[in-house]
This record gives sequence, structure tokens and C-alpha cells, in this order.
Amino acid sequence: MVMTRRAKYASLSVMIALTATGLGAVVPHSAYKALADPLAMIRHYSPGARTAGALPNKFRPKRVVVRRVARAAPVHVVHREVRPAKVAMRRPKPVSAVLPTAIEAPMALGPTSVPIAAVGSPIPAAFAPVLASGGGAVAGPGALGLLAIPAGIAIGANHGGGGTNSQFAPAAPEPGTWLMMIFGFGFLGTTIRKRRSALRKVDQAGLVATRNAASLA
Amino acid sequence: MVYLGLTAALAQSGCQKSDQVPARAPEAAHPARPLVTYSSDRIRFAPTPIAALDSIAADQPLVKSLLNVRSRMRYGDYVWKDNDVRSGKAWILVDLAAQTISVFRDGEEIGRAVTLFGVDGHSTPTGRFIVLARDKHHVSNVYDAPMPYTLRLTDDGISIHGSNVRAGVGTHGCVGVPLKFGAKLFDAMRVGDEVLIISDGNRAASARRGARAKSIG
Repeated sequence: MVMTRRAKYASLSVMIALTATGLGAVVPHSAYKALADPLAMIRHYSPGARTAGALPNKFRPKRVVVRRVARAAPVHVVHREVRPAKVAMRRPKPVSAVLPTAIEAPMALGPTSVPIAAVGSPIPAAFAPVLASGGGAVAGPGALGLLAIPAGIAIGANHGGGGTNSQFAPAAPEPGTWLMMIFGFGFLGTTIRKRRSALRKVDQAGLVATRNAASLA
Repeated sequence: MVYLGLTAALAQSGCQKSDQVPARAPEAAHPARPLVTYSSDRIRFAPTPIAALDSIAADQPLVKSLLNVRSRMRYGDYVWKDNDVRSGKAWILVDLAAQTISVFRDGEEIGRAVTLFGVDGHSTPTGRFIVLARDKHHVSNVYDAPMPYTLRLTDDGISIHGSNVRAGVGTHGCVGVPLKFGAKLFDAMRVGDEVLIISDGNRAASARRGARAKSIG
């Protein structure tokens, strides 16, 4: 049978129309048979049984936009020296030097503190017991310079009268302590120097004397 | 074969266009091979019971048509067509074995989608349920997750809600549907409507659950 061109187009358009409207051979034979039970029809077009190993689904309908905080450029600290925070030491008010030292020092420390208090030295009253406790039996104003070192470094004034509030002394001595140390060293130096020169003079005098004696002899 | 059924249906309905007037087959008996009419949206046939629901719902509604889903549905797919169906009470058929949910109204299917259901250890209960509550913007306090368009089924929280339906995941027992489908489903369902959940695997469990659900409902 030879179809005319018009007949061909007509049949083609009918086929297209049928396909488009779903009237054509859309449902397969198996599904048609399954229509005895509607559930079988539903299952025929379902994805089928779920594969094993499904995990719980946590649903998020809206994506939570997490705004990124601009981070500061990383600072590369290789070795940063960790210094202890400066402890503000409360300086006691300058009390008349006689009061704490005269009462406490003699009891605790013995005779060395007596000259300090008695002298009425310019050293603040808070340092006096410390100096004295380190000093022991050493007496005399010349020893004060050496004794100032422990006062600056350690052993606070807990056992002293009216000392600081801190339990430890700062690593860096305070200006007053520095000053005291410098003066002490200087005093020590001059003393030694004087003593040596005096000895030298004595020695020279002795030598001269012996030489004179020898010459006399 | 398909055309055979089509012509038979047309002959039955007096050669009227199947798109306009659905073929109403006599409802007295269920023929072994129901007369079927196909349209682009729908496959209509004589009112037919679903055999799997016999043990769950004694007075189960008959099904008169299914949506014409022309290819196998995949995760996230859904179909919705309800403007050619009379308004009325809707009911839901969830088939865990096929991962599908179907919505029926007046005996005709108005929507179908691929679902998620409970993973091992959090299995979705099967049986007959009643929509206890509706909540459009539900947020689970158990899982701290938003569950939009929730239709609550049980007192312990099993519900149908919008979810991200994709392969390889399940739920903690709820039935997850695509979000847009969930919105339509939410509008179609009312509190007190029926939800039938079936599964191939455990018929005994389903019967037991069904009995309990009946006592609740």
C-alpha cells in the first residue's frame, strides 16, 4: 500500500498526538495486568525496595548562612618571653622609723637592728626588718649594701612589720633598691680601697722601717 | 492490548471522550480484568480494593483511579493532580516496600511521591493511623530539626513531614516526603483523616500495630 504524503503526515501527527496525551502505548503490558490490584501498579512505577544501610536523614530546609568573621592575620610568635605581670607593690606610708623597728626588731632580730633604728637611717621602715634578718650578727652601716640584695629579690616582708601585700618579691628590683645596692657597692668599694691603701701605706712604712733599720744596722 | 482496553472503555461509556467524562464502570462487582481508560493524567478503572489493606482496614475505601505516572519514580519525585477530583475526605497509603506515598480522595489518586522511612532500629510502624495534629512549621524538640508540614500520626511523635528525599538515607521513624509535595499534602489533609502504612516485611507486626492504632483511633 502506497501512502500519499498527506496520509503519512496525518498518521504521524496522530501518533505524536497520542504520545503527547498519554493515550498511546505508555503503560506496559505488565502494568496493565497489575491493575487487578492498584497497589501492584503503584509498585511497578516505584523506585522499589530501599537498599540496606540507610542512615538517618537530618533535614535542613534552609541553608544556614554562616557569616565568616574576618580573621586577623596570624601573628607568628616564635619565642615570646613571658614576663610575669608587674605586681603593684603598695608602699607603706613612711612611718617614723622608731615605731616598727624599735618594737619588733629587738625581739626578733637581736642587737643588729638596734643600731639601724637608733641611727635613724634614711632607709624606709619596711626594709629595715628584712635587712636586719638577712644581716644576722653583721653590724655596721658598711654591710647594708650587701644586705640590700636579698631584700630586692626575695623574702617579702611577711614576717616584717607593716610590709607589702605580695607574697613574693618582683624579679626586677625597684629603683630604690637599685639605688641602695649601688650605694652599698660603692661604699664597699671605697672601704676596701681605703683599707688596701692603708695597708699598703703600713706595709710601705714597715718596709721603709725595716729598710731603715737594715741601713741603720 | 492497551488500545483494546481503551476501545472497550470507550464503548462502555458510550464513545465519549475519556478526558471529559471518566468512565464509570458498574460498581457491583470487581471484574478480574477491570475496564481501563487512560488519559494523560490518570488511569481510571472500576473501583477496586487493595488486597494488602484487608488486614489493616476493615472498611477500606475502593480505588477508582491512579495517576498516570509514566516512568519509574526516583528519589525526590512527586506527582500531584487534584483539580479534576471532587473534594472530600482524603486518605493516605504509605507503602514502605515500594518507598511510595499515595494520597486518595473520592477513590481517586491525587498525589504520589517517593518517601523516606525509618532506618533499622527506628523502623516506621505500620498499620492504620489517624492524623492527630497538623503543624506547618514544626521543629522537632527530640532531634532539634525543622520538620515542615508535619502531620502527626502517633503520640510518640511518628509523623509525615517535609524532608530532603534522596537515596541512601532514612528517618528516625517518620515518613519523609518532598517539601513541595508535603505542602500540598498538608493542605489536603485534615485532623482525623486516615493514614494506612503497609510493608511487605512484617505482616504480623503490621497486624499488631494495626490493632493498637485502632484502639487509639
